[in-house]
Amino acid sequence: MILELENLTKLYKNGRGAEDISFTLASGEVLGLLGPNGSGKTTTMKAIAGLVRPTRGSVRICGINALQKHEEAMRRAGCLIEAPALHEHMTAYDNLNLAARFYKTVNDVRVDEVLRMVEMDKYKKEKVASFSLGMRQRIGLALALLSDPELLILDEPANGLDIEGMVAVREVVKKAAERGAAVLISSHLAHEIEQCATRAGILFEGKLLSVESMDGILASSPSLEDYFLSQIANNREEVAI
Amino acid sequence: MTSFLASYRGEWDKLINRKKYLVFIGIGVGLCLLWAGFGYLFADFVKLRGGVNIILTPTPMGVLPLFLQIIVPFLMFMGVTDLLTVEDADKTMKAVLCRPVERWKLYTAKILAVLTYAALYLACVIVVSTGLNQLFGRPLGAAGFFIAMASYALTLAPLAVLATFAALVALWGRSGTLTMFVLLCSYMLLSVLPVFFPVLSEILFTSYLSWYKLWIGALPGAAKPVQVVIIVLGYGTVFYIAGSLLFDRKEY
Repeated sequence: MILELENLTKLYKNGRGAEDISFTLASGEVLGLLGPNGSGKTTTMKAIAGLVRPTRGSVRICGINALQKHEEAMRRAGCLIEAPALHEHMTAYDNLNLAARFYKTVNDVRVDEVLRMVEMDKYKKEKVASFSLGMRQRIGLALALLSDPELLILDEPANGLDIEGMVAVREVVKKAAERGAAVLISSHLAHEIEQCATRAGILFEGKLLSVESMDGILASSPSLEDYFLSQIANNREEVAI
Repeated sequence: MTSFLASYRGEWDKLINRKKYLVFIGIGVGLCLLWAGFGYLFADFVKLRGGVNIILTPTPMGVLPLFLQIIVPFLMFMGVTDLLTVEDADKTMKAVLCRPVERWKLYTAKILAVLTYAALYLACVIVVSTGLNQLFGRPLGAAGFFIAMASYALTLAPLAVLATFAALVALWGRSGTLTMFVLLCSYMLLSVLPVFFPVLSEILFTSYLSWYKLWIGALPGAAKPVQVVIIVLGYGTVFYIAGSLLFDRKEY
């Protein structure tokens, strides 16, 4: 397994966050986390990437306890969490170069390659400060792909992208899965998840309601959106009872 | 080691890619040149009026207090604020925390990058001031240059303590401007307090910024420097460990 979460819980002081999230993700799989804003998608991803300290539970990346051996675990992962965090006063190339130094296998050729993958190679010498939201998102995606990671974590990667950009993200995700990476992708847009994920997890109010294969979901429901709505309705009924 | 070196190089690049840090080096060089220029003009003026032949070129030891007590601390506060508070505020800290690096290594790299900048700054000052002395016919000589070099090198230890103090404060900050304000106010307070309460000069780490005077020239006895080393080391260790633990626990 590339990613194993066991009862991962992160509760903030206001009581919100993510609670008892458990799932596994194998090589070549794309797991889409679908949920409304504030459902715990970003919190789950942040806890996996070590940006927040989980209240309890465990995270294993390629069998490595990510909470104890962050450095070793993150060598195998690439992340784009929330809006891409870029250094405005540096060029796109320099931003990637900063990250490239952390990996022995990443060189200038790879930096150029990922820039081409996200169609930003012609802007590589321009400062990030002049980039639009979509361009920044593409650079963020390039940063996540840089080390050719075994685990790719993408939090709302289509944010700010135009139609062409969204298609490009889908292609990138599919290609990453084809070459054997496990992809964890989140969105609040059901059609985005439906088009690129092999499995979907429904997050609602910090809880993971279900994780099903996309084929299974589409066999029982007309679309992921309908499945999502039925899951939410069931949950509300259970809470009411 | 790779991750530490990558962090260090990254932090250094982030600093030096900001134009203001290069401009401040230029300002430092400019100050030395201005000092030399006015000194030369003043000496010429005195000589013309039949006075003694005085030389007012900026010697490395003469300019050191100005840079050590005022300019370098200010620049270090700015560097630490940019690398910790500002990165937290603009969320760029997340980008590096998702990379394969332990937090304590990143924290150490940030402090070292700022300290490297301070060392580079002081190196520029010593080169320019030595060059100006040479130019105006007042060469320092081998012994003078060695003393100057040793003094400048020695100042790096208390500056490192100041950097760890600034980093600890910067971790609490939410905005760059506020952090700079707090750092400058606390530095001024720590520098002024011993004037009113002389007993504090023995225990406050800011009093030891000029500790090179303890080592260079007249030594007041062996016990004093050892005691000072312990105080400086103690402060540095406490600030570094507290900051490192806080950085490790911080959520982004």
